[in-house]
Amino acid sequence: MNARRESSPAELAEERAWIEACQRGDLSGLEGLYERYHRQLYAYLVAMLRSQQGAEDVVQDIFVKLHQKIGSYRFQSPFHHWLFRLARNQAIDHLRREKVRRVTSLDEEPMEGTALRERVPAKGRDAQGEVLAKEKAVAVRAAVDALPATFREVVLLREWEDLPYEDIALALGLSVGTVKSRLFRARALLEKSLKEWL
Amino acid sequence: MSTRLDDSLNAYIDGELAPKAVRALEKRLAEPAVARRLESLRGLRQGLASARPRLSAADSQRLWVGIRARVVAQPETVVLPAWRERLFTRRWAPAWGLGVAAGLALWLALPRPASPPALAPALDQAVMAPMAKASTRPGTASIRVAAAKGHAHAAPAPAAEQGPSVVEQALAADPVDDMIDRALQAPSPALRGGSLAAFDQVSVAPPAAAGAQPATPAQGGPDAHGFWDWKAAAMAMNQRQWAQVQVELKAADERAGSAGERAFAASALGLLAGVGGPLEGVESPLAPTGDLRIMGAGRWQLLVDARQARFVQGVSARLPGLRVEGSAAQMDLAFDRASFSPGTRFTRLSGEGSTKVLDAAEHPVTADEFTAPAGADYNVAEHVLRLR
Repeated sequence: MNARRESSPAELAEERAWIEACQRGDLSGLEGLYERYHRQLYAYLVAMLRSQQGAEDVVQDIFVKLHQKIGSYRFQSPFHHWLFRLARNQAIDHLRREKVRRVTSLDEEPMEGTALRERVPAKGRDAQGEVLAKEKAVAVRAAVDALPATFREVVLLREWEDLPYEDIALALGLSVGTVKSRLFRARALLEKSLKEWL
Repeated sequence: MSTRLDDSLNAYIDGELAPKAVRALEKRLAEPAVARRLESLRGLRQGLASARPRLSAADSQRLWVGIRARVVAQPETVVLPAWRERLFTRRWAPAWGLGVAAGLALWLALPRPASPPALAPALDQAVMAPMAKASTRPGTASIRVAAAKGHAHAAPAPAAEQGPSVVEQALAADPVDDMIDRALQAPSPALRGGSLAAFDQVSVAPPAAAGAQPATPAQGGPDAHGFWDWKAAAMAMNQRQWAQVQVELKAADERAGSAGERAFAASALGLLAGVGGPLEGVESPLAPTGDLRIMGAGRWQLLVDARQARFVQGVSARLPGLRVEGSAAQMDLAFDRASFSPGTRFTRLSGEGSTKVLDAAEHPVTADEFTAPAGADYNVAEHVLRLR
């Protein structure tokens, strides 16, 4: 959801055309918005919900809801703000519904579709770099998961959604100072927990 | 290192530091401790970026197919222009109230015919009502195709004997379907040139007189969203262009993207090619492209825009390893689902693949013969039958 930072005028015009098409009930507009935003939403949701399956479900819910609610969007604020609020509400609803209060374990559902034990390098295989990168990714996600929720959300929006401080503050209803404070403290915690990996 | 410097380095790697502060900080980057700290933060950011969960292209596509199907299944959403939206605000409520009251008074004062116009032939009320209640969506335009095999001459549609069913009430409330009902009562001439049409095989011409025009290449195909566009097939049926019907349904049977769509196409071809049907004698179209087949039904209808097909009156069907006999079935082409009416009987067949059967508690059903007292739902793509 970094449209504000990276989108060119042409991309913004294209996005507006998609939104207007979507408001007319044209599915091609929804498809355009899906193509632009679903990967970012997925990454954010995986970390927030700590579940790939849950993230997939909520991504679908978000775009179905978007189709229902798009008529109320009046172009008075950046679309990605509006979409993010929708996504966040859907994520919260999902957490309430599912009562997800799991403690993440490296042995639980892996991110890349393979169990951790399957990622242990076989003897003699020349793919150690790749395997180590995957294990590092697992460790980083576990460390992110272990952050307090208020810190985690800010980190995800900054690192995975590439949102500027101001957008994060707007999305979460915080001051820019609080965003910076949480982000910097979260990074310090991550550095500590990932010492052996970084 | 001071907290202030650390904060500045954080903001620096985020590109959020003011230009003046950037210049000041960059002067200090020559200091080993500051440089090390900066590298550490950059390493952390890279580590976080590489750990970002990613969807595969296949998963992205799968999610989009699910979204599209759910959206298509909803009533159409149209945003009102601002001036129209304002008309529905509380400020205008008294005016609306007066308008409704005036309209009601006018309606009461107008003369009306003694009896309402007859509706289309009743569907199998007892079995279709519960399914239709769940699936009829107001505002969804539909093209309906009804077929009753074994009738070769035009016949007026019989009126419902015991008043309108739930299905008919829902249809009567929908002006689009009302158009179709009227067309069903006067099926000839075919409605040419319009996207809304209806066909009743009760009045089907004998095969020898039908299909006079040579078939053109199939007009139907996947629409912009990947769903099969059934309008060409429906129009060909409405216009009794049987050669064209065959071409259109074969194209859908061979090229439609979902198992449910292919299953419907093959079923429709099979029904039309049966004894007494307009395609009787044509080469069997039942290529093994799908696993669900409706083998027989007294009447059936295709709701094009709703992407549903309904079969009533002595429905027989095949699932992998199962023979199905019931009074009604419904296929949801967008969701690859089929549902069977309460009381449908299932008999296992040997050597024809297998359907996983689960009861309402999700326990496997292993009996050779069983009945679905409350109906059953079948996942066409996954070959799973769930009894309700």
